Order: sequence, then structure tokens, then C-alpha cells
Amino acid sequence: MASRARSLLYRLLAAATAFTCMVIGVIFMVAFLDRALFQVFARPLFATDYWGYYMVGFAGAVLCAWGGCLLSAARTPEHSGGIAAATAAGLIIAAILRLLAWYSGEYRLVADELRAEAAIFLVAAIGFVWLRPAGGGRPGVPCSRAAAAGDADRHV
Amino acid sequence: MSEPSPPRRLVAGRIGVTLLCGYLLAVTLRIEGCYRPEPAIRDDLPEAGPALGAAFPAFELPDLSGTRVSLRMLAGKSVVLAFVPSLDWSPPTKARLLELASAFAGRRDVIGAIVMTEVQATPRALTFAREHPLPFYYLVDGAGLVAELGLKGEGPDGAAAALPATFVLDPAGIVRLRDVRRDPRRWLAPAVILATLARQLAIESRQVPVLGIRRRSAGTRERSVMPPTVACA
Repeated sequence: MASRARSLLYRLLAAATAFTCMVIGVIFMVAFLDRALFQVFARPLFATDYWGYYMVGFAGAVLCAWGGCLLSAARTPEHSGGIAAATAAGLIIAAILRLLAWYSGEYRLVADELRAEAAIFLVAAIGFVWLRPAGGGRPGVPCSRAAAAGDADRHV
Repeated sequence: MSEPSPPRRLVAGRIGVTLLCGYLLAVTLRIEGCYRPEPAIRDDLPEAGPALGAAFPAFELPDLSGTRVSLRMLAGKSVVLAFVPSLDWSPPTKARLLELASAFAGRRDVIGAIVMTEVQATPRALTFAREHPLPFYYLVDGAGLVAELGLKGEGPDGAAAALPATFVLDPAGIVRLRDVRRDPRRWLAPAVILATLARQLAIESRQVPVLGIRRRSAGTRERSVMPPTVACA
């Protein structure tokens, strides 16, 4: 019962993170395409130059890919221990970068947003670490012993 | 069926990551106290600089583009003079300036001037000034104004740096607010400066008009006193 609730929570967390990654990724890619090709928006979405938009577009593509991985983790949690660990590591690094950005003083006008984002990332990282299915996460190998035992029963 | 317990190494890893996240969460919550504005005026060096109600000494300093800016040139509008230790190695100073710029965005009745010592006009300070086109003059003191006012401090490398100080001058160049500190990690909240300026404006508008026409202060003279766009190499 507890295992099922944990699995459900993990899937919810992975799906919510995937959704957020994909939405932000699409916004980043739209911003790059708008700046580079279409220029539909009257005002640029980000206050940066063309190289900045290039990096924004690249980050958007990476976020979409990351969202895709998380979606697969939400669908088959028992095969996705590695994705959860990588996501937790990514979130911790992103939180540290935000704290350093706060400390630099250059982002003073969005200072509390940075701290709030860092706190959310850290809580999500703890969630990924504790809710992820135990085990390796190698493709085709069930992560939890329970799943492994279930498979073994089925094959007997 | 009970769930089998995860391997000990995994649990240790989870606890380790959780401790790291907990530490970072504590930093996130407490980092706000690292540096911040204060709503109260401070005067750590009462003997330094002109006193309240006194005229600010005349000066003429070059800005980052080399244009010489004098107090006489700024007179006619209220002036906020901010002495800063560094725009290179001092994150609180950068935060202070960005807050100040945000508070004065769009105001044309006030001139802001940032004063730093010549040795602190480093390439990184110039980069900050270029990347944040704030509505201020960036004045570089090579003439000893900082020392003359008694605001000379030291950077971490021992190089001369100004102590963090804020002066608000009325259109006649009289000091209406002074805030002098030793520690750049606390600065005067821009709201206090705004309140001083509002009080100043109220006093000016109360000056009796002659024949029903409000007397024009020197500040209404048509003259470009807005800081130029920072152009640095």
C-alpha cells in the first residue's frame, strides 16, 4: 500500500516536472525562433542579444528532451531510477547556481524569485531521491526487488 | 506482501543528498541576511563629509566616458550622490545600485551620481556599468574628493576605495540627507531617499509664487542634465 502510494507520488512528481520542463523549453525555443526568424512579438521575450537567444534556444531543446525523459519515468517508474537521480542532481546544481546568482548582487531585482526557485528545486530534489524506485534503472531490468520478484513469479 | 528494504548504500546516498539539500535550503532561507537595505539612516563617521544643512564641496570629476562633470553642472535639480567601494568585488554595492536605479526609474527631477575611486574603476566595474545602463553618472575620483571628504577606505587588496555613503543634495547643493557607513553589506533603503526627496519637493512647491506664477527654480532651466549613455571601451 505504502509502496503504491510512493509510486503514485513519484509519478506525479515526475509528470509535473516534465510538464514544467516542456512548457519552459517550448517558450525558450519560441523565443529563439521569434528572434531569429519571425519577429512576431513587438518586444523581445528576453533582454539579451542574438548569442543569448542562441543559448536560450539550445536550453529550450535540452529542457524538452529532459521533459521527455521524465515523462517516460512517469509512465514506467520501475525503469527510471537513473532519470530520477540525474534529475535530482540537475535540480541541486540549478539551486546552487540560483543561490550564487543571488549572492552576486547582479540579479537584485529578481532576488526573492531566485531564492524561491532554489527552495522549490531542492524540495523537488529530495522528492526525487526518496520517491524513486530502488535499484539501478538499467533498461529492461526492473529496479525494485519487488518488481523483480513479480517478474520471476510470472516466468515460472 | 511487505516491500523489501533497499540496500544500505542506497539509503546512505539518500540521506547524504537529503542532508545536502537541507543545508542548501537553510542557506536559501538565511541568505537574505547576507546583505540588505535598512530603513534607518546611519552615520558611522560623523566627522566625515559635509554635515546636514551644509553646502556640499564643489567638485569636478570625469565620468566613465571621460566627460567632466561638476557639481555646478548638476545643480538645479535634486542630486543623489552615492559613494561606492567597488563595482567589481562588492556584490552588496551592485545590489544597492540596482535597487537605487529601480527606485528612480523614470524620474527626471533627480540626478544620480555614483562616485568611485580611480583604482576601483577596473575593467569589471566598467563591464557592470556597461551591462546595466543605469540612469546615473559614474564618476571616477582621481582628484582626491573621497579623501578630502574623509570617506577613504580600503578594498580587500588594500587599494583605496570609498566608504559607502549617500548624500541627497537639494537644487542649491545643500545636504538634506547623509548616510555614511563602514560596512557595505547594509545600505540605506531607497524609500528613505525617496521620502527625503518628496519632502524637499514639498518645501520647494510651498515657496510663495510671485504674482500667482510659481517661481521657477534653477532646476527648471532647459538644460540636458541627464547622464549620458555609458560608453566604455
